[in-house]
Amino acid sequence: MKFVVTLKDKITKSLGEISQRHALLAAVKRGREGRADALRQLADSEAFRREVKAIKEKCIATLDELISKFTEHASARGAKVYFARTGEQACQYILKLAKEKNAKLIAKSKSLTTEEIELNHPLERAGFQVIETDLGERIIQMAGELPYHLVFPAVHKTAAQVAELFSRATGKSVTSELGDIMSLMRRTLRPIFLNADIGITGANVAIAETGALLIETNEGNGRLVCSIPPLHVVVVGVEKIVETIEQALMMIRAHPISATGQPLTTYVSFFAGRSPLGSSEGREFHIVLLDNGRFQMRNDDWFREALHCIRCGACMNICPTYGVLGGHIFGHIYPGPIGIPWTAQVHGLLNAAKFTDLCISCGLCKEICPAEIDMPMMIAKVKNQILEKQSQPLVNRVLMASEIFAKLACATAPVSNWILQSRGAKFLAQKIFGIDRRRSLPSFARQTFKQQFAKRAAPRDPNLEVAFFVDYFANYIHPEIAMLATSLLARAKIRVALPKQKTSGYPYISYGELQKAKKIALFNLQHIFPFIQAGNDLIMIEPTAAYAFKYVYPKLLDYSQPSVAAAQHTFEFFEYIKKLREEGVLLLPPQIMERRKFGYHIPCHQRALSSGSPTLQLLKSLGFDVEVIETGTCCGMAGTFGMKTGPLGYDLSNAVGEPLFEMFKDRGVDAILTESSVCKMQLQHGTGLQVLHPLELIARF
Amino acid sequence: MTSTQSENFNRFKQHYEKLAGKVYFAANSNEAVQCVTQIMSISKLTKAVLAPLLPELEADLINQLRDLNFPILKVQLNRPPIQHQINEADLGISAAEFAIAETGAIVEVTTDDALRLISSLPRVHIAFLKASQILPRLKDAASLLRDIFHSHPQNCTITFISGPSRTADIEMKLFLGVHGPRESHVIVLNR
Repeated sequence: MKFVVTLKDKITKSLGEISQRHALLAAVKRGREGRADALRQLADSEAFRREVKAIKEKCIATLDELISKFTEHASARGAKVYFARTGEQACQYILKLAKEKNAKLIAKSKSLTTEEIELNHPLERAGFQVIETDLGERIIQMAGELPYHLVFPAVHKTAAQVAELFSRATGKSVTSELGDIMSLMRRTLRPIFLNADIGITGANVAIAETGALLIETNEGNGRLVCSIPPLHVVVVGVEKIVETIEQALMMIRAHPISATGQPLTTYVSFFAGRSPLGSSEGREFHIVLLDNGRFQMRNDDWFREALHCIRCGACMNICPTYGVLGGHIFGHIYPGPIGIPWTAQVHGLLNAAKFTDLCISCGLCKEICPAEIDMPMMIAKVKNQILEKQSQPLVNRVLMASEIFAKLACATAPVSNWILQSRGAKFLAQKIFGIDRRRSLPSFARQTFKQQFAKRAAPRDPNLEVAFFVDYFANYIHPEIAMLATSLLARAKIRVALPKQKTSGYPYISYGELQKAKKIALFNLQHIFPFIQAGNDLIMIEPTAAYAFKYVYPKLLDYSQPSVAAAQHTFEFFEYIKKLREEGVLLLPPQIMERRKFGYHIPCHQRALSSGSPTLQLLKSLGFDVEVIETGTCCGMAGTFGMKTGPLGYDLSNAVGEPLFEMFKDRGVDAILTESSVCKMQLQHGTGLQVLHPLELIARF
Repeated sequence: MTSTQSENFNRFKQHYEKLAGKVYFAANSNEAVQCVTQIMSISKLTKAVLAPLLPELEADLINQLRDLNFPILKVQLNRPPIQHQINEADLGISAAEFAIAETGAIVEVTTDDALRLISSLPRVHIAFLKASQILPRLKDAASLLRDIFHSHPQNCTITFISGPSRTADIEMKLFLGVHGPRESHVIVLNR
């Protein structure tokens, strides 16, 4: 509970820092757009991701073998390879080395792994002068801060602030002109490069086949740090080892493409043994191979994939809350989505608990990750582990229990609605449960979809039968949408079966209640699997439900046969409808009379599915004027997250959504279309525009 | 150049220049030397440091620079600290082993770090590259790299260089030459 309070304070403070927020938003946007442009140049970007994933999978599976191969080959080239079980061991080894060499000045090039083990502290305490030479890292070193963004560590500092830091550190005055700052930087760091006793770097890749290490930098500081000093020390996590040169070439392509969209980092150096510098001899090369929790990760089915991380920062560029808050809040030492499992594993659960609640379970990190790491489920597991130490906040428990409440509310509607919409009830809901009173709660239906469906007439002589999954909103709040869906299917002479079912249970994933999520998954599959066995497809209108069936249930249930079969037979509603129309089974007349201009919103979970393309194609083929309007990230609602009052809820939810709201308003659309019920609430609230389900356009005849 | 070489040259030039580098074609040694002297005069360079080049080209270049009274810094490999000598030059000239057209990168192979400093310390770097040594794709480099590692069982450093040193760490504004060269020229020789 203590952590939650401090996190909320930090969020509130950060939301007020407008210029910093603009800088961060521009940085993540640039990263995303650069990556997207670079991927468009590739023949097959999905194949590219699959290849990266396959390489990492294979290398992590054979890690022990690769470590010994790498050690053998690097040693044959004269390197001293030390295997450090812990960060402490790694630091001690380097400290001892520095003392033996009588070193004074240590030059470093950017390395997240040395930050992981906080190497600078013991070195500085022992009296060594340690200088970071990457410009961004140097700036935050002077400021005494941690990186704000993985690729742009000092993006939150303006040129004027940087100039002030430099003049304070060097005693020389400098203007905030970029050229002046850079020239001072070049002048003051040059003697460091030329005179350093030790160069310490990380490595982006290690190649077992040749014993070579790879270092990527854009500034060229990495080259200078390791070519001049008599001693070069590399600290590299064991997960960076690949087997072959071919795999290494794939990695040096994957890093910059995913991080900024560069084809290659400006300098990529392969070090295979230490070279002399002119006539100077006795130059040493020490390689510290770091475990520090990595083997523990590898042996854990939930966390093994975290080792596939290539540290490109793409997940940070797409994470909706990271993009608002930055790495100082959304991170311990490792920031961003992937920082949650990494922190939990190498820096402990308590440190991870400081920022894990910032994950709103949108799932976008997995979709952008070049190694397709299932961060959303990994983070759900971290949340689950945290729950063993601290209790679930009341508001989360209330939101997760909303199905029980909805049953009651529907049974007592419209009285329940009248009460719920009253100011008194909203006041109490906020006061007691923490549900923000500015949210207009939807009205509950007098008859649920399940009740209405039981009374409708089934089509005679059906061609086909499908199973239908309705989920929360379409059952309790907007049954008319689900009725439109089933009536369209009936028009195509498809019999709709409604297996016994609960909601998808995704909120349990969002709040880390894996046992409860598993129970719901088992319940749903127990009743739905017989329909799948009978040859039925499973159709759903809520993207989050389809996401749960396709990706969450199989993982939760260890890829049991029913879960995998259901995943394979799960279809989004419009995927199905588009196919039926194209086959001539379903007749839908074009609607050319419709004059309104629509903006289409892709819900986050739908990005893992079809990204709405069947819906868009169908709408366009029917004559609708519709275009996708997107920032590329979330609208901010994230299921029930935006319903909560305060910084860790409503405030952050709106801060995430604002750029998207502005886009919709600027584009001059008459209405917004989206298939997600919660995005609909958020977009209505944020834009004031009408938000419709595409079914309300297509099936109204 | 053969037609394949010309195609690779064009692709390489396009990509390398997108990364703020400059690429020229020199039909013979004389043109290559002229290219160098023009860069020296436009960029107001005063002192050049040379890595070993193709012998004939190296001789031509040295003669020409002497005629024009451009000082050439002779690096004395046997006199430490060599880094301070190289640091006095504002132009470094070296040879690239090969290049990648697809991404716009030249590849430097060294077994002495002094040679790496020639492409890292001076404000301007010029690399010579044979037209026949431009590979179309990055993955074509794998077997070549393997051979290089094998032929240097003790030590070697291979560096892919894609244009001048760059940073965008302050306000995400691109700045060239923060630590390494601000200008990165490649002269492609007709060989």
